[in-house]
Amino acid sequence: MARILVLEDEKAINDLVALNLGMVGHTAVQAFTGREALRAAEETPFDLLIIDVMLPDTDGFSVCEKLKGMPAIFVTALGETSDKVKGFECGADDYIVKPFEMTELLLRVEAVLRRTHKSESRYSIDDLQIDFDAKSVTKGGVPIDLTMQEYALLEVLVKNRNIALSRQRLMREAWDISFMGETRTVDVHIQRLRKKLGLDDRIKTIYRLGYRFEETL
Amino acid sequence: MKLRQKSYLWTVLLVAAVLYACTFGLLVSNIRATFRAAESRALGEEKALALAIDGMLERTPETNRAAYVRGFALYDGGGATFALGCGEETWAAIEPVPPKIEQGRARWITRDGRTVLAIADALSDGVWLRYGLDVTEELHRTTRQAIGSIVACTLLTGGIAAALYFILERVNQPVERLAHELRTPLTVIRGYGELLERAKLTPEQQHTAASYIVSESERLGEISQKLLTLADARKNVFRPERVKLSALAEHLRATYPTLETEIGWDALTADRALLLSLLGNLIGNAVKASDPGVPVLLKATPGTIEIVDHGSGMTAEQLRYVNDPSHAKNPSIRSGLGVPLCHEIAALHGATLSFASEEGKGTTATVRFER
Repeated sequence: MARILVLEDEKAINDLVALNLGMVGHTAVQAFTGREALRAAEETPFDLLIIDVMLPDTDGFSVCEKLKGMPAIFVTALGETSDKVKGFECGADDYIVKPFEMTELLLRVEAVLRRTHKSESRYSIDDLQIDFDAKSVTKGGVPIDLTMQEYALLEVLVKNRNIALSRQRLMREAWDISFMGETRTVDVHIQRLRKKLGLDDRIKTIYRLGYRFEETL
Repeated sequence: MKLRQKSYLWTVLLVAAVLYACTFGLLVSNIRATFRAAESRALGEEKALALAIDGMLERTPETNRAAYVRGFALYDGGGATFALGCGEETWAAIEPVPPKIEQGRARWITRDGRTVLAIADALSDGVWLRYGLDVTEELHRTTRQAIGSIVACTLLTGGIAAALYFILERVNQPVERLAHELRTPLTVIRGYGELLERAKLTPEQQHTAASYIVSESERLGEISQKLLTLADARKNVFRPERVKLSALAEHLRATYPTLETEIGWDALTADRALLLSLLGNLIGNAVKASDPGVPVLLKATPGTIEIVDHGSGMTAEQLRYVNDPSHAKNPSIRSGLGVPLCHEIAALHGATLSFASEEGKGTTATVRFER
């Protein structure tokens, strides 16, 4: 559960990013101008900033510079290398170019949070407890033995909860396997997870797409 | 390096190469012609002088020769000088005395910073003639010409390079702007589409997502429409007709309910569709800048159409941009294709578009037609 600032002047995109962040359990604070962002950051520091380079009152780089110390991801329509360099120079942790896939943004957010140790360390639902630091799972206080593959799959599903992930994406993110084609192993591991953890209702099969970990039934 | 930059550099290099090659060719033939003209003048004059002296010497007794030919010292050769004598004795000479050289062809000799075209000739009975034509001025003139041509050539190349750069920038600008402008709706449509597909949303969230997709699709449609108008304006698809301003105002009022009109100009010759697009764009911007319900004024007086709002106004930087979009470098000013399009349409009508604005007070857009 990270507190994340979304600085983007296009309301449609700002809402979209905030909605997605909210889906996976983050708290998104929306700002539409650099001034608003700076004011909000003064009150309480953020775990992460998601900043659009083009803003009505200033540019994202200068906001990032003023808020040095807070990790930042730039979102922009500029694909130029010089802008990337400028972004990294003023302390950005990552850079994503419009139009982008939301799951891609969420993964980058997670990666930055993990690097800065702001990533959630434990998650619990029903009688299930997951400790991300220890990589251990307990159900009703009883430790459950999961294989490495099963645990990795569970972690990706939970960190991207409420959003469906394709089998390919799950393979790539959980097991770092990026070939296309045989994805039945994912199904097999999902079956085992459901059985071992009693997650038949929580891990939903989404027709023609993949799987989704659902927080609200 | 980008393809555009590469082809630009090659074009400039090619232009420079052709220009310099032509200039050098012309220079070389020019210098040659100058030299040849000087040589033939020198040879001709020397021959004539030699003939005249020879004729004089034939009619003169041998003892008096030196005295007779002295008269030739009054000879005015226009830069030419000579010395005449026999053996070691000099009979007549005009300063500066031409240098002593071997007999034969004309020679170029430089002495004390002056260049002389010298000819040595032997006349009858051991009489010698040394002829010299001072060509320093001509050489200087040729050098000056050469330097001038190279400077002109360099200036011309620079001018062409700058003009080409300017044209390329102008041509590419709306296209780049369009690419930027397209990204927002694309991101929004894709993002909400993904969300609808992949996330479990509440009915309200579903509604929000769907309506964002619809409104951003409309925006794509608008961009496409603007692009088509821009393409038309560029192709000079210009169909002028008599346009009645009161009818036009009525049309615009139907689209913009808060529009108030003051029409003091009956009719003008313009392309109706383009003019409508121009005024529609300007009024649309004015309405967007105004608080909801606050009226925007369309005022027409002979030769001028003004759109006045009392909205948020513009910063100095924004104002600079809308008055001359071709010079804007700052990508953070997002005004899209609308304003450049308005300028193009105005220019097509021989009109000028200008904005005056004060932050917090409002903006006035003025289209001034040439009468």
